[in-house]
Amino acid sequence: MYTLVLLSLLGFLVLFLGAFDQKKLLLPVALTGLAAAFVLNAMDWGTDITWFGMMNYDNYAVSFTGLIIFILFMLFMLATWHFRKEDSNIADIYALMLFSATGAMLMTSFTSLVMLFIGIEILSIPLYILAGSRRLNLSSNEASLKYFLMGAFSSGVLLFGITLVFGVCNSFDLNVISDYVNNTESTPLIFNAGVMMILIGFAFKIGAVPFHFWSPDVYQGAPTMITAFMATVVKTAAIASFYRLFDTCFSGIDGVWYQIVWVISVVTILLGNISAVMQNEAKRMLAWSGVANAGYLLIPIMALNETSASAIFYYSAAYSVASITVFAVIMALSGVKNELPVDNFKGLAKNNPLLTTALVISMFSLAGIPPLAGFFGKYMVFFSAFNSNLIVAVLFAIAGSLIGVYYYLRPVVYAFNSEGQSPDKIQANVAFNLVIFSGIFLSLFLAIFQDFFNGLPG
Amino acid sequence: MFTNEYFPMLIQLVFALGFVVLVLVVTHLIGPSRKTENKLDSFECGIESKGNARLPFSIKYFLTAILFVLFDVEVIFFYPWATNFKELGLYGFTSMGIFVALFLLGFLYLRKKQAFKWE
Repeated sequence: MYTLVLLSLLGFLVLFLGAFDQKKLLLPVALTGLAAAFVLNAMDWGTDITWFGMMNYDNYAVSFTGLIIFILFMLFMLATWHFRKEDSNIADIYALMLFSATGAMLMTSFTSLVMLFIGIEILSIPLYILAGSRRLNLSSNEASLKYFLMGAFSSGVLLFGITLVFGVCNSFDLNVISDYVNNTESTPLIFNAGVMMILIGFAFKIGAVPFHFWSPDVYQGAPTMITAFMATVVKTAAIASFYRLFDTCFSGIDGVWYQIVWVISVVTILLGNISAVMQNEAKRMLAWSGVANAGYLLIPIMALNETSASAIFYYSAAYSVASITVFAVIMALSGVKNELPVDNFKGLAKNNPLLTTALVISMFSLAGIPPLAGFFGKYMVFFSAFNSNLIVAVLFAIAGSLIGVYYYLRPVVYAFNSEGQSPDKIQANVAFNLVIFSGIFLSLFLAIFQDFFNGLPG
Repeated sequence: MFTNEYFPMLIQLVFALGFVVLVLVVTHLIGPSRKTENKLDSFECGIESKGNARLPFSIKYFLTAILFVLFDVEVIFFYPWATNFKELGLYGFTSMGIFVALFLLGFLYLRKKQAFKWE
């Protein structure tokens, strides 16, 4: 709760530092604030306080909030170098990212459907602006409008679902709803329809098939920093809230939604991976990879056992860290441009050994090659699936991963291709390199802390 | 179907829609009409209209309109507070104080961003 207050006040502070032309102070203040928020959040560990009957800071919420703040910290470190040439409105971009993150925090800790909806809206509305924050770029504008229209529509569907559930249970409170579900023989059709609509709203936010159509265009058109934000913070928050809601409320009626999530998950994994193979633009490829990863993240939700929460947490952490590192390499290579054809990775290894190492390690991690973090993420997801006898879904997911290896390793192969012109040495600042280093480190060694992670979400 | 508790609502829905359609059709049919070119022309303060209505015009108007809506909404929230001022007491006062303070911060931000500069 205090973390939430601190983070929103930090957003205001950054906004006003920008308005009063204190550009030099922006990032130091934002980074200090985020570090303080991280500590403050860690102090909530084990307290399990419910605030106003709306939010509950249990260990699940605290660990996901910590992850979100950590990812945001890494992104802001990258921003020190990435935004060096932008002059106007930079403070607004930081402030909107902070506001969006407060929404993400609400989504991890809600105990009321109202709070869930408000959280999703606080997360989304700044994103619509952020996606279009490169005002003079046509594809950025297109991304913003497409995301806004689709997002507004899906919010409407989600809200309709919440209304139907409220209509049956007469309460927004998750405990009341879960009591109702557990004490009712067969829930009425109208309630099941509500659950389906909520499911659709979430499927849109995480970009699962068949509600994924926005994601390639938006990821490609949005500024690279914002794409990285969407691929990591937004996806983590969406899947965390998805699991929180379905685990607390709707686990008693999994007969209603189980098969649908099964189909969505399998189709998402296959379609995401197969489409990513055909992309020639790096950000678009990562967008399809994000779609595929949403499919993997749905598997623990189906499994719904005691290992699910930590599987989701570990997988999102591993995926986010690797994604941020890849996006950092893309930022470094694309410079002022908004897009990066995969061909541009050619010859990267010649003059930029550090960036190449980062690319290789994170791509291997995303592809799920042992002993990297991504492999153990997939392992934990499949393990929780095996515990619930989801063998067929796991087989499909493994087939998807095998397809994934091809497109994840293509940039890596290109990087060592010395034909033609290779990019010059890219000089980044210390903070940028620090993120690259920690990305490499975490992808390599996240698995060592697995016992620690296993205990985290509680 | 007729015993369903929502059946009266269906009747009302049909009636409401039917009334609108009926009134529109009947006035169209029985009303006298003499169509001339001048009458069908769009009305523009009595002056002869020229050009297309869909002209690009300055973004400042939109800005002003949006700002008006924001502050208008703020004022609307004052009415229920004012009528319940005594019952809500200090709690209501602090809540409203925070709300207004946030709005003033927004106002300050707009001023600093020069949203009110016309030239």
